[in-house]
Amino acid sequence: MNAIVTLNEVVKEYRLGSVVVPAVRGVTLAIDTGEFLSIAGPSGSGKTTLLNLIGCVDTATRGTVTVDGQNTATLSERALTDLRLHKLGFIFQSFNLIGVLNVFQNVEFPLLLLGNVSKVERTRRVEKIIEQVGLSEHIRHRPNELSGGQRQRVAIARALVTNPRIVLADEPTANLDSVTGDKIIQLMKHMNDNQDTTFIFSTHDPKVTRYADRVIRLKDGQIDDENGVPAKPLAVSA
Amino acid sequence: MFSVFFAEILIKIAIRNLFSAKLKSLILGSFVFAGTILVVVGNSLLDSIDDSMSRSIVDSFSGHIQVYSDSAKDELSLFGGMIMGREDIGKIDDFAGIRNELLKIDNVLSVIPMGIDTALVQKANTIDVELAELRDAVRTNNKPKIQAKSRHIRRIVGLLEGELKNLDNVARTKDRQEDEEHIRRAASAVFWSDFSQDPLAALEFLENKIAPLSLESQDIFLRYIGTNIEAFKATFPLFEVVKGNAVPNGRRGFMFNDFIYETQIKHKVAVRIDTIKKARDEENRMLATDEELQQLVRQNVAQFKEVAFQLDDEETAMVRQHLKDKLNLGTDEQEFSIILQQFLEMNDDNFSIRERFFYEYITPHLALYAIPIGGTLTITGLTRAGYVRNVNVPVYGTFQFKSLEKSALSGGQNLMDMMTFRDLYGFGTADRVEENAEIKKEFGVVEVARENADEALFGGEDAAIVSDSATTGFDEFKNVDLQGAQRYTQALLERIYTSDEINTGVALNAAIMLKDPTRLDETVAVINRVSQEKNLGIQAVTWRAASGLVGQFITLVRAVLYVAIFIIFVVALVIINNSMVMATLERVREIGTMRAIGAQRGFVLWMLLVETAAISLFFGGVGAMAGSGLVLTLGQVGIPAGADILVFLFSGPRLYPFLAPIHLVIAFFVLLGVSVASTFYPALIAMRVTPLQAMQEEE
Amino acid sequence: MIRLAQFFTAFSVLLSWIGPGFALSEVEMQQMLRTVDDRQRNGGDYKALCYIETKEKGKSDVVYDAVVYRRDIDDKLMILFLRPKTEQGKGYLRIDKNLWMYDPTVGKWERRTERERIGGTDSRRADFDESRLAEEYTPTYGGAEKLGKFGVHKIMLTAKDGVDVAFPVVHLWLDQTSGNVLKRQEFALSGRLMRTAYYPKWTKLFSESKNAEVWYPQEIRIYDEVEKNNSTVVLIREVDLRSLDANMFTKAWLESKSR
Repeated sequence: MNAIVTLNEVVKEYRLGSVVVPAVRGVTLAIDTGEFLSIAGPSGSGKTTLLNLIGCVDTATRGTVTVDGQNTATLSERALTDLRLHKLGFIFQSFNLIGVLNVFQNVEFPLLLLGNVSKVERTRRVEKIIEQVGLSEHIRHRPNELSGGQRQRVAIARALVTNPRIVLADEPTANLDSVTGDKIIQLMKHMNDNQDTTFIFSTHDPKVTRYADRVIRLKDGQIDDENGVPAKPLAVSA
Repeated sequence: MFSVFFAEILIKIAIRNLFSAKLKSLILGSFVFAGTILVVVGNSLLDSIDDSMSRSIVDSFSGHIQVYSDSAKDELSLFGGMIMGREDIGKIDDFAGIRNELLKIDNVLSVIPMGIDTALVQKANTIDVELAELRDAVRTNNKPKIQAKSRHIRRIVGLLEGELKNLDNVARTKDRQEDEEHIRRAASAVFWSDFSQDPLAALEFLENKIAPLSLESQDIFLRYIGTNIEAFKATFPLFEVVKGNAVPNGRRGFMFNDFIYETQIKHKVAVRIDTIKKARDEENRMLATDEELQQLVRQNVAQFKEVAFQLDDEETAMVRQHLKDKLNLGTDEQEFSIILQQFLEMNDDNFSIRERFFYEYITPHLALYAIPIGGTLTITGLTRAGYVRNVNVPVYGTFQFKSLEKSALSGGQNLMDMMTFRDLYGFGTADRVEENAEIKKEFGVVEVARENADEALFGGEDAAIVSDSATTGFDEFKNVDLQGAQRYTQALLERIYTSDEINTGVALNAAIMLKDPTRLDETVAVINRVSQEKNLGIQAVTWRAASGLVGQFITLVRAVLYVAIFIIFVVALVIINNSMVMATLERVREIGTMRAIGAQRGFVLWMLLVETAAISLFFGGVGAMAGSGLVLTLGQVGIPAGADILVFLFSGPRLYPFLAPIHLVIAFFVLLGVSVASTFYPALIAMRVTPLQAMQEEE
Repeated sequence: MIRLAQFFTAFSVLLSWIGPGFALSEVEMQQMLRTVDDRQRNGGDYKALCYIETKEKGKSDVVYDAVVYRRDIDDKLMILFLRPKTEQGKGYLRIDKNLWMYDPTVGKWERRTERERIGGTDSRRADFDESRLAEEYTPTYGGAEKLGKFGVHKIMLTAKDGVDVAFPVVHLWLDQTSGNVLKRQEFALSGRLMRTAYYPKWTKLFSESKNAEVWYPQEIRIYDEVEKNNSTVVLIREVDLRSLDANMFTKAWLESKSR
């Protein structure tokens, strides 16, 4: 087995007052290392919840979620945070950069959290990844001086700088125009191709899913057509 | 898990955040700034005042340590307690013995005996004074003096008659009618033409019928320190003679504190004029606008008699002429009283001229001081139960404590020799005690205790006998020489006591000067221990404890300052807390993002802490520097003592504050405390932020 | 001298209005006070040798040998101290409402008040002066009591309006048999007890000027009720009722004694 993530009969329910709202209703899934996986489905289908469960920012109500061999239900909040730091990278729909820090500092941030990376090493890695996302010219700029696409590139750089096993992206293109969104997905695909990093991204945009190795379609918290043939990957322009 | 890597990013984030919200930071910072200035400047000023006040007290008369009886009912209070009454501080029976023991303690430099008490001094009626002089003149048959004094008294009687007429007639009691008759008689030409026929009878009439009508006499309470004046002069560096001389070594004598001499012993009209002059010259107050000064002028006008009574016919004529010549006041037809009142009705335009006139042409005819230097002060000592004891003591001069001239507080104590003090307080000298014992023995009165007096006096078989007596009369003056007292007191006044004699006997308390004042508390403890071990029966207290409310003044002001600092920092704390809470709520996404990326809760806490600490330390640092700068500048320039009380606190006309580094350290820790405390609640909120909140889209 | 009264009226008269256990009417009480006053009054002059001894806590005892002169017709009183030597020649002179004190060591006359403690002891001018109880106070009856082995009437006195006395309220315990004052308590206006005095020995002396006996207490014991440990004893050692010089009650006379 080289599945990096497995979900087994995972149920996630939210409590809104006295009403229990099920967001994920029994999902079983295995994701292999290096996959470029898309989770698709309409709004409210449970995409984000599923991503959160895999991303260790939330835990399942029932069922087991295993990330890099560890059952997240058995881990403390602290250990989960550690797991996120070392094994996961996040790309957010709204980019979520730290406004007061410039590009370099934003990308450097997770390395600082790691705590054991020397300044020289940090600079090398940050500069390299920024170059890879094509923002070397903007390395001293603040997020509010960048366009949406550029910000998302910074976010990608930040997610990848720690060499995570998995990168999770929740609707990474939702706040971008289609051309830019397309470029971002292509960048992610490129990174996926060059590294052994698993990418899992959610989207409700069918145009985006075509880059995926595999598409998981969710409907009402359940996998709709898992056996459906994934869309054929397109050639990635570097 | 906090590491140097963190520190870098935390500080970066904190500083960026502070700069991104400049206004907010500035508002927060200004509170911290103000608070820190208060801590540094306030404490430095208080320390400086404490230091200068301690000089005012220690070097004027308290010494570093005071000792007094350990069986005292009340605490020693050098400046007087809360009440007008006197404290019962017991007594030190054998001062010389105690002094020897204390001098054996290594840090003790000198021990000065003291007894602080309050006595009553009567400033008599002018008319009583004049009558006494007339009586003196009659006795010595000094004709010119009899003439002059008679005329003067006749003037006063005339003034009294006028005054009595002016009273409304509603209160015309039988007594009043009698009084009027007496006055008419005393004012009549016949009375004075017949005066020489029986001057003593006429005097008795004036003294007993007329003088009581003018009850302007005044009692003054004088607080004094009975001490070894020679040792006192040598020990207390602030002591200096102002008028006259110090009491010669070993003599009995009294020295007024110059402040009291100028404010209470001086002629009242003169004191009021002095007060107005000082207010105008030094405080820029104006008669036209200052209600208090106007009041003084009104009092002077109303009490013109205080001047008029002291002038005899000749002097009145002279003053009248001068008033006319120099000030163009009064006409020949006008009564002198009216002219004098016009003169005393001063305003801003004529004050300076009239003040000079008053001292040049009027005061030479007045008894400017009720008790002149070189004169004799009759002190009526009040024993605790209110018994009185009179002692005559020569007044040698006045003194002040250097640079504290204007301070009423340091001006509260007069000085008296120790022997007179003992007489007044009721401790007899050895020969008196012996004589009293002899007289007691002669009569052999058996003591009967109060508790069973009823039974002891009336219960026995032979009680309450009614007896007959058959005396044939007696001569009370047989074997009695009534001039003994005069000779005795005269001899006492001429006697020169040695230091040993002065030290031998009772003292109420004693001042101790130390070789090393920094070992104050330690030496107090040593004295108390020695007293216990050797059964000396004394207790030692620091000058601060001995100066009662005055000593606690600084503690009180410090308490007020701390309350102010506390309030300002509580306000700062609340504001910082609120703004941090707001900031935290605004930054929920950011914090959530950090948490998602892998920041632990501890990181979030540190982030907020560093941010508030950065504000506090930056503005606190600026505040501390500004405060230090202010203190150092004031230390060069000095703070003027505006009010008289400040002269005492400042130990002089200006205070030169110094900076104590300890207050910067205190400020640092206070700020640190405030930062931590104000971060507590926002940190709680921030740590509850979950990574999930980073994912949520703002609507 | 001092205040306690004496009847020179017959003993039987006394008995007729002092019956043990019966409350006294106001008239009877007035009569008793008048009797007390009358007994001590001499028609002519009066001179007494006195010894005063005061104990004050924590201080040396104060003792005086003094002579008291009285001219009751003119309400004049003079006290002259004979011993100890520091007090020699010191004196008090009461004329009308003036109470003068002369101190030869100071050479000065000073005005004093009714509350003056004579020579600094706990005795007052009134202790040495003629008794004027009926004139100065209004009585109310306080009941019959026992004082030691004596039956006494307790009478409470309040000072009349406008009368200057040292104490506005006085309680008297009068011997039912002799009518003499045995005990006297004095109160301040506030009701606070100030002094308690005892008169354990009464003596009478025939006066030619009065043509009757004059009574005086040989001993007065005064306890200070404010400063509890202080007490004063006054002994009236000898009384002389012969006429005194006409010019005696003057400042000049008192001064001359020590000059």
